[in-house]
Amino acid sequence: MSPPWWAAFPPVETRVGCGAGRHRMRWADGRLIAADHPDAEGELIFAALGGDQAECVTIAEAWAAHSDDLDVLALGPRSAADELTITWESLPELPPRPGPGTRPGSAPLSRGPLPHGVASHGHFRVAAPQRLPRHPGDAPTDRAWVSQRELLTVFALGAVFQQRLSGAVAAAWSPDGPRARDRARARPALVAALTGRLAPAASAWLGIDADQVTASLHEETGWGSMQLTGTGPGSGLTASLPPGWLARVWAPGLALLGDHLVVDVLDVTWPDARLLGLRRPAAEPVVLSARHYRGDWSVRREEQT
Amino acid sequence: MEYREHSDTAERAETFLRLMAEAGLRRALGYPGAARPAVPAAWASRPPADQVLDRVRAAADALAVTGALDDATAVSVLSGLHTALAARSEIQNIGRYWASLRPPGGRPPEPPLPVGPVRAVPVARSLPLGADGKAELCLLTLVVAADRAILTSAIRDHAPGNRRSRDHVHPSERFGSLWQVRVIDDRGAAYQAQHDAEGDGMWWSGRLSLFPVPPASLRWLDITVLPGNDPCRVEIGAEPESAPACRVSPVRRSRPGEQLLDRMAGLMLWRWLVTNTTGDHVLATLADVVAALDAAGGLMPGSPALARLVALAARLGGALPAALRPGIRPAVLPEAWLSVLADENRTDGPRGVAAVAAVLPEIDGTRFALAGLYSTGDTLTLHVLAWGQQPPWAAFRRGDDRFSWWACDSAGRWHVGRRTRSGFRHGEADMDITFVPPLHPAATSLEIMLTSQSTQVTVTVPVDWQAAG
Repeated sequence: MSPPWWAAFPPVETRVGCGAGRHRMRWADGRLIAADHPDAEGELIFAALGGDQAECVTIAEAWAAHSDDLDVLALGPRSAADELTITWESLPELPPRPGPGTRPGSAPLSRGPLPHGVASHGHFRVAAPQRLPRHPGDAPTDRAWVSQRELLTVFALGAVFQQRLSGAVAAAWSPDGPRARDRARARPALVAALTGRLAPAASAWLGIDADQVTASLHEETGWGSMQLTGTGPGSGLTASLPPGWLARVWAPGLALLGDHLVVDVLDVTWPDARLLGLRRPAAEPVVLSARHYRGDWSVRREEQT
Repeated sequence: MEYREHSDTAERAETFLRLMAEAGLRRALGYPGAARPAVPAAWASRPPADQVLDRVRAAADALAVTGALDDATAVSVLSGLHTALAARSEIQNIGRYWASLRPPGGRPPEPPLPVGPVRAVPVARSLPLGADGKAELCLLTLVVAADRAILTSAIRDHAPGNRRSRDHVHPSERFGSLWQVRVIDDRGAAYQAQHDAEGDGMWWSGRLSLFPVPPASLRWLDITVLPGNDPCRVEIGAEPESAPACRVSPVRRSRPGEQLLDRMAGLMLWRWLVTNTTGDHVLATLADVVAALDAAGGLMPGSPALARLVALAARLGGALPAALRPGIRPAVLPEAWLSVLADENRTDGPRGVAAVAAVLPEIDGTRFALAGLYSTGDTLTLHVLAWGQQPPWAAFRRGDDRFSWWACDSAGRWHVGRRTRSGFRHGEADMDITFVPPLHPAATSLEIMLTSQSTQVTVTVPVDWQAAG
């Protein structure tokens, strides 16, 4: 069984302004949580009933809502060198989720009795909402605008979070992901996301023009294929890779290790990974042992196959 | 198989556009390994991110106009690219470009087509205007439909030494309060009137809207525009016997990109005659447009329309994009284009107005009524009312991108037209279509050809110059 896509990532944490304080946002095991709001679910319910909603909880909620959003891949980094300059200060003021009527708050709730009125709903269950309603009544274009601004807020958490959210989205559209059945209509966006991330890696790997990299989605079993086309300055690369490559290989920073282009992850328990890599296009892949050390992955050895 | 029936057209179009946006992002950011394309001369001073956005937008426009891609997807790709550039500090003011793609409140619903008949009635009344009587107000054509009643007009100032202005000149600046309107119908009911006009100091194009809209049973209106003048009675019966007949024919092209390239050539021709520019604005994105259309299967093999456009660019001295130079054999220019070019310097057109009136059948979800024209000597301007058109600010596709306007007068002179003014409110649209070169001085009628992606409507209208009042 394949390891989960997030197994190649260590937990990360940052602090964000929340009311008058600075609270921790923590990502681990594929999820982002508002660490200083132990009852975020209760706070969401409270906010849905018209109470205050903390910024931390709003961000965590937005993260979950965008974890299968293909706009993440259109906006997000294409390589480690591709740094986004989004900061909290540069963001326009954002409306709170889930809709009009709620105001950002700062006081973390602790679990206790449900607010009056909630308890009277016998069927009401406290559960983390996967998809809160989005500003009912707004035009689709307005919702899209709000969604993009919300996405920028999540991206303002920083580069390490951007990589993880990108991985989550790519995983969602992988064959074993929750959006796999919708993949046909998402194919153009996935092909573009794959090409846009493979191109810089392949350019660095082979010294070719990044525009000469053509990628397609590999829908069969196995890691896919890779062929060099042409010779000299006009040479290019034609690759077929599964969408999971983005989540499992590219997102954790494993795409190019030394002189190998990594095409699959065989096993990983951070900080160690066993990978399948190519020394050159069309070559037989080799098994690599890699370790994450001081912020970078590096190949420890090439195993005999 | 027809273009639109290809099940994978939309996917190919979207994939192309998204990959183009990816490549554009690399170029704008100067990623290592990103190719640096030749920059058209017209864009030499533009920042790389703006160039990228313009190019991707041109490709998106082409794909949307030809039906290969829906508007929402095109907007999604463009806004995604813009946000990606802004998030990397390549573009300031993240909201501005978004606003250009997404109007506040979202896209309005498609304006409705008129319910019931649309009647266009020639009024053909000229009244002296101004203290010295050197100007005239020409009432042209009344158009009555269930949702509106509009009387078109033209004002002409004959004052010696008068010059055209580049800036808008309101007629009240010259003539004071023009419209002291009194409108009474056959039942004695009175109407309010709202007017507006735009012009250059010599010619003004105007409209008088009546409120409330007269009932369908209306037989006539008495319109008094200027105090001291007799009322002008406009008989509004059933369809007048002399109403010009329209011919509707399908556009027999299986590739909509061919149609688009011919429209672009028409635009180049129009600009060449009006502004003496060689079409660099069209040529700057032509390679991207052609690549997009080709990727979506929107062009014929060897694209005859592209060959014509390339030949026209060569004739005008425009700089053809390097990517298109190899492999294209310029074609012989069509007769209509050659005619336009042959008469490009003519200023021998009549100076007058004519109350042409014609209601065209629906064409690609839009109805048009032709409501008068005026000829200034070097141009010919047609008043047009429209139903079913989105205002340009609300539609991703500009409304007039979907239609081309051509005309041939009875003396054999061809004219290419373009929208030069438009107004949109409450689902109504009115516009001026300006044709060049001018009408032949001996012309007595004008055959007008309106072409969409799928249909061509042709109507021949008599050009009876209106006598001065």
